[in-house]
Amino acid sequence: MTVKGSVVSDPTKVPVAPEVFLRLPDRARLHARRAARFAKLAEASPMGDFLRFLGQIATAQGVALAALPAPPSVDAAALGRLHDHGMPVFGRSDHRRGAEWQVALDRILAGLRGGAMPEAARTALDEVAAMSRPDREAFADRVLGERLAAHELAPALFVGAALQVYWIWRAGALDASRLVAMQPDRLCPVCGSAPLCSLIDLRGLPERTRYLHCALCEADWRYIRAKCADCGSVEGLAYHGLEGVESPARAETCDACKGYVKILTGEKDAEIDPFADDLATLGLDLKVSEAGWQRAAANPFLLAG
Amino acid sequence: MQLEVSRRGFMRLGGAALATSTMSALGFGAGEALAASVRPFKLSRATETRSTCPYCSVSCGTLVYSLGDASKNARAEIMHIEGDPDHPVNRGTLCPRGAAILDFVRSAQRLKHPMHRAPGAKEFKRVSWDFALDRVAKLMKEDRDKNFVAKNNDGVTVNRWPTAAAFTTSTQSNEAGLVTYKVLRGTGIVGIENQARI
Repeated sequence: MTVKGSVVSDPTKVPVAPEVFLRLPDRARLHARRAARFAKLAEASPMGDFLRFLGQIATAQGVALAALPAPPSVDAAALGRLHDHGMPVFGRSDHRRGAEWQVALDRILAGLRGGAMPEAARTALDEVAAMSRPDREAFADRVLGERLAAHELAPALFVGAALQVYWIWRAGALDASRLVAMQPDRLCPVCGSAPLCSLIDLRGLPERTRYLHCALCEADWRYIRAKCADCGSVEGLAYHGLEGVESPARAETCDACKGYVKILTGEKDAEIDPFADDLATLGLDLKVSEAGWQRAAANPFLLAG
Repeated sequence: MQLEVSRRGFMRLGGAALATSTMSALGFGAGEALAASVRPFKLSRATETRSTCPYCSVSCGTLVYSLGDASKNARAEIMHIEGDPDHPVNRGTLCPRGAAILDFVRSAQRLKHPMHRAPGAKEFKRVSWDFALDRVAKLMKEDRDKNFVAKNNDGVTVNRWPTAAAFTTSTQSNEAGLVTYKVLRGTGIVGIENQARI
């Protein structure tokens, strides 16, 4: 094989295409892109007002994230210990949150306050704003544990948005190339969360590699194609879409666990966003649920049930 | 106050569940409009199946896309084949021949039965498997009897059949590769092309 004019006679020395196991979000652009995507998808959606509101939240998240100082660095020895024990770096249930998440929360609330929203949303916003700091901490634990009463769903959106900003900020100090897969490998190596959805986008290395997208810290980690992102089965999988509809979303259904996780393919549309496109294709969820599969992955912007 | 606390997910998300959701709790009542918008649609079903490119012994991994619900007696049809990005050999790439593999699957000229063109004849005609296997066995035997080399010029036993070669398949397992070698080398064939060569 010839590489740049020189002959490589040792097959073990032939350069191979790079493989990327983990990607951290592009913190400077993530939220602005998402807001634009929400705005675009809202135009054709029966739930357009909700999507536009989530676009406002994304914008407020971006402002809150940009205002935080540089994240504290992560000690390499500590990282090694966590990896030895198969632990995520900032586990969603055991990481001791810094006060920065509350700073982010206050900024998000302030950013949203001037915008248009239904009365119920404004009430929930005021409710979170009025909460004491310890109450907010306790509430955050329940949001992260997805253990919420029905009347807490509205305030949980704002708290969840702030926690997301915090985790993205905290993970910003990590070197993505040093992170390793969890056991089971469907969990996020950064925070241990279950995936929101999976992505096949233009940035995958090798090309057409599938990544799972974290619902909390928004890391993407590699997960082999044609394998259930819920139970890990490689048999009984099928890909469902709405007949005759061009959409980046398909439901990867699994007959072993009767669950499904959506897979978004962004080849034609480089702008796809895991959160915005997941919610804008909610109609597919309704049809797939009707057909008997249960959605395995929670979207913190739309908790239900 | 007694709270009804449950593990909220997105789990049982049907039209009814949207009535108790973040969207409705915030005052966005779009659940019904959404359910109505997808009511006329049916679900389409596709599968992705791992396979191996059959062209050469490199054995690149492929993903084969089929459309249709085979489980409901509907005819499934292969729509697309691409390199498997998770396969360590080719990491998602395919050579030009491998990339054109879909046309190979669907080719109208694809051989489906044993065909025979008799010496001097212009046309191939369909024959039975028994005929084909007998004919191949007979010709192989004749050729082997004529050309088999038991010893080389130095008198060393080599047991070669240099006038025959075998091209088998790249989509076989190690065990099938072993059996292929045992059988073919047993006859003296040295030129064997299949996955076990690599």
